[in-house]
Amino acid sequence: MGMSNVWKSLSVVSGLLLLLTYLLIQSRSPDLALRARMQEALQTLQLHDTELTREVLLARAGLLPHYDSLPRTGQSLSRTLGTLRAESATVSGQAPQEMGQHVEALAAALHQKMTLVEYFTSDNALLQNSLTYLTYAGQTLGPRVEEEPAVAAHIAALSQVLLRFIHTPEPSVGQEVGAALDRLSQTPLFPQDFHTVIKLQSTEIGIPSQTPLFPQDFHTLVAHGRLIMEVLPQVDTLLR
Amino acid sequence: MWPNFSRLVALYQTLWRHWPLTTSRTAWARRESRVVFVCLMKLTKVGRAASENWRLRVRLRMLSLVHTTKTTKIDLTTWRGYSLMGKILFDVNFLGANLCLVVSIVFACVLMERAIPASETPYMLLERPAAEPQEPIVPIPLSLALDPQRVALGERLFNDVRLSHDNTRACTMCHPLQRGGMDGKSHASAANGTAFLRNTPTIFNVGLNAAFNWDGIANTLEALAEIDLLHPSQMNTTWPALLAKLQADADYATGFNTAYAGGLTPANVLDALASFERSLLTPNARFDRYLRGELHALTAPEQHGYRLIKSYGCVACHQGINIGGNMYQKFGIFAAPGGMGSPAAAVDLGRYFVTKVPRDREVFRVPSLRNVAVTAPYFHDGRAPTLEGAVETMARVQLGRTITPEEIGLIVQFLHTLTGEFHGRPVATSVQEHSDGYE
Repeated sequence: MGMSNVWKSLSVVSGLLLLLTYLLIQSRSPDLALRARMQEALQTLQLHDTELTREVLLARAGLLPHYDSLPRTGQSLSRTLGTLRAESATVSGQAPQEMGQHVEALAAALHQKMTLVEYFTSDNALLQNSLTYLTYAGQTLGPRVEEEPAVAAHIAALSQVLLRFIHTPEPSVGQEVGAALDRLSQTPLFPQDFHTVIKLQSTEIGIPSQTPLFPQDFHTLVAHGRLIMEVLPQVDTLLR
Repeated sequence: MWPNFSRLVALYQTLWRHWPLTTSRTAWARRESRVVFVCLMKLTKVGRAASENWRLRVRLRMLSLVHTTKTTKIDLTTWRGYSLMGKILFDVNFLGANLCLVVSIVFACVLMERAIPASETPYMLLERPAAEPQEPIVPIPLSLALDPQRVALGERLFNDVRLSHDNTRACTMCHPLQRGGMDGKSHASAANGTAFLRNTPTIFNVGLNAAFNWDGIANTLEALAEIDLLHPSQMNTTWPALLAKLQADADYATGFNTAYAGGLTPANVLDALASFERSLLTPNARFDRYLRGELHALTAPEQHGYRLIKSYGCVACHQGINIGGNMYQKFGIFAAPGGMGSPAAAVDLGRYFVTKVPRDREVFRVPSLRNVAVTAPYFHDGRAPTLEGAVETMARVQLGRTITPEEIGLIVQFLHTLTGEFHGRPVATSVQEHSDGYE
């Protein structure tokens, strides 16, 4: 009787041990090294994405001396995504299909992001150039308009509203900028034989040509002002 | 009882600060090491305090238990006996629990110093140079770390007419290295003798571009090389035919088997071509030497020309290591460029042909200005035969400026300083044709 109890206890314990061992083996990750590589790739992807965002913000603030780092980071992101794609294809079982879908979704998102970065780079270059010109115009036009108080007043009003628009590029302020530019371009000093058409995408911005002689810089100031009015909201929309 | 690790850690930290053994490590990695040291120092303080606490508790408890056991018999058949034994076991396990806690904290601190390959570490985490240059233009490196065997293979391929289907065209026909890396024509010549819409870009410094061709049809040199090889109007070959020709050449077979693990494959052929193209750098331009600190490398008028292109905004687009090539821009911002009688101007919509996005109509990749003085004619359709004309056009249509002839002259003088050296000699000028009627 005692021996049968012992054998019964031993068989129960052995069965439990076998069950635990089976569950332990089944619960093991099939490829820990692969999982670690994929996690590392995801983390690297995140870091590069953060870097790209930082570079874009620096460019928007005018603090990036050149744009080489943007496509370079994009290439790093593409390489990392390629690593992720290759690793996900080696996973066993049915996981590659599901993982492949997620990786392709990530690739599509990356492509879209790099397209937006491409557009941002183009628009931001124009914007930064025009903002630089405003600074130049402020230094050179001041002495020239000392004898024309009306023009000086228009330029001062334009500067104020442009500064407000640069800080807060809202449509209402944009309309004020447009009105200020129109007032400046309709002053008696505008060139009679000068008509400039600026084409930006589908918008055509024209400067009326009606009146006599006007210094070239005033015309360029109006052109750059209209460009800022058009491009600045686009750039901020791309950033958001 | 607890070892005085804090003094050891502080000593080691002092030594490390004065004699860093791994100066080649990144600042990020060194910061991580310092975090580990701080962690260890805190840990030793906690450990010592816990150790003292534990010692005191155990001593008190043991004294109490010894007294209790001497005066009271521990009877494990009673609840009080079990309670006394439990307390003894708890105090004994206190040491083990503390040790486990200490070991796990140390392990966590060490794990924080995980190694991430430097090549994958984002630039923002790498150590920046002490004085990061703020100039919009960066000098070309004097050399690149490329596999010489692969570059040599690529050079052979670049000069080999067998890359074309009829064995009549090689890459050097449109990109002669002894003449500015481009053919000097307004429009490149197709395989059937007709003219393409566009001007041939120079092959020099092409590896520094972020996108290729005037419309960015490819983002890698390998992809561009494959397009050129398979395009009906260019090399017009197929991979089976090309590989068969190359395989029949024992030198190619041996070379590819030596340079590449996979031997002669399409990917390796493209890699060899791309490796050679990346080697086509033209460093040591006078302006590059000026950027590196040789202030006398530029004359005063040339320096004035550089200031002009910065103040006028040319560097808004022509910037970076290749002074362009890293972005796209619409051609004709403040004024329409005008076709100057060219029917092609109305047809070539630039990047729109690649993306089909209306926004990309008349958008082109910003070309590099390196060696611009020797790569006439200019613009995507070669409409400007002279640099002066190109500068005037760009100022008018892209910047909304009318600049004086004197300023144009200064800018052109500066642009001449962007001519680099290839194989130790200044890049020679391209052959310029004047028979296309666009002047």
